[in-house]
Amino acid sequence: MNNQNDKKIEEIIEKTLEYIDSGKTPAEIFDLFPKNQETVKEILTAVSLLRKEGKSIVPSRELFRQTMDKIASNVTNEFNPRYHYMEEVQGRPSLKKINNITKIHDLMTINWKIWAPVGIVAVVALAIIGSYQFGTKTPQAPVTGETPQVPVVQETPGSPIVSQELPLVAVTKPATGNVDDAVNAILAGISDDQALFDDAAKDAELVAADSQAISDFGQSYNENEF
Amino acid sequence: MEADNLQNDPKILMQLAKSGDAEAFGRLYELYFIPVFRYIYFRVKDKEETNDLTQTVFLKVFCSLPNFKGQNKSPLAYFFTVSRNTVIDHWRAKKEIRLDDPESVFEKIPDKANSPLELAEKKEASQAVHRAIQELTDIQQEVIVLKFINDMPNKDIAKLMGKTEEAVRQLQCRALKALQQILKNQELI
Repeated sequence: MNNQNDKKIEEIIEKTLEYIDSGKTPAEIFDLFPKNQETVKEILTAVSLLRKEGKSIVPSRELFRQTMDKIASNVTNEFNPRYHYMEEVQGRPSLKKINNITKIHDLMTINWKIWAPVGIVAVVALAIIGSYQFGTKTPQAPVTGETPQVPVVQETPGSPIVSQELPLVAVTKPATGNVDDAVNAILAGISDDQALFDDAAKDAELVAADSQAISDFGQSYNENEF
Repeated sequence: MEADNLQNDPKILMQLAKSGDAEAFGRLYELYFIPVFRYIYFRVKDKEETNDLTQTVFLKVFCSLPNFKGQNKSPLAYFFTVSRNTVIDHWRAKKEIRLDDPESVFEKIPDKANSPLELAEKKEASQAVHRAIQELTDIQQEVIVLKFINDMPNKDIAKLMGKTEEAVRQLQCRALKALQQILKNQELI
């Protein structure tokens, strides 16, 4: 019974809404439901209250203007006080004003990954070239007039004699014009000659010793002995 | 006369606004500002928030004009879709559905009542209507606001809510029936 009543009310509401949508006046709709005028009256009153309440909600003119201004400031170059301070603040220090620093900064920040390795490689290459150019050439010692070393012959028993010869260096002393210096130079030359003679005598002794050893070996062997 | 009507056709105005005609957008703004405001007001129940959200809606629509497609789409439905999404975003941000005090709501509504008695009667009626609407389910509230507060056709409501017109009609019937019962209990009808 209750369900039937509910269904009936729903049907009346549906029809009423249809009539409202089709543009019928409340009076016309009211006349269309002679048996359910009470229900229709309630529905129409509810709709009327809602519409009345809706119409009482009106935005303020201030909001209308504010919204319009916001939209306008979004699309035009009109003056907007919100951003005005940015133009006024000129005295504030900025990196952009210091051009050189910013340029260096840009260079360092943008290209350092390229320039830093290139720089390191260049420095290393220069160091290597420099070491080859200047590091191997030692400065020559000035001539002091010392006598050159005479080759030393080391004689050890049971081992061949090794002669360690030093490279011959022609040592010439510049003439001073002094007689004593000249005499000293001649005496030094004589001593050099004497050393050479001594070496020759030692060599001769060695040769003789070798000959003696060969002869001794010949005597120790008798082919007729066997 | 016909040219004047064409100039007031929302679809033509929307196309003009899309192509950069600021005057056309101004006309649309005049047409839809109050309906959008009312819709938002009944959804959020706070006038300050309504002000902010209404501004947001118009800025959003203005910014999305280049993306507005189709001669077939109703500009009103487009505005309400943006409004609806803005309200939903607002609720998500607040993470609550605000159930405002109708007393404070009413005080913000401008009233042209002449006598204190009339003012009191209007105040009481308005409070009762607000209470009645709030007793409905969320979807019923929406359909009632769109239908009777904003006078939107069922076709647009269906598009906006993503439902068929038949489903919208049924929703309206049930909502109105519930509302009728609530108002009857409050002895308003």
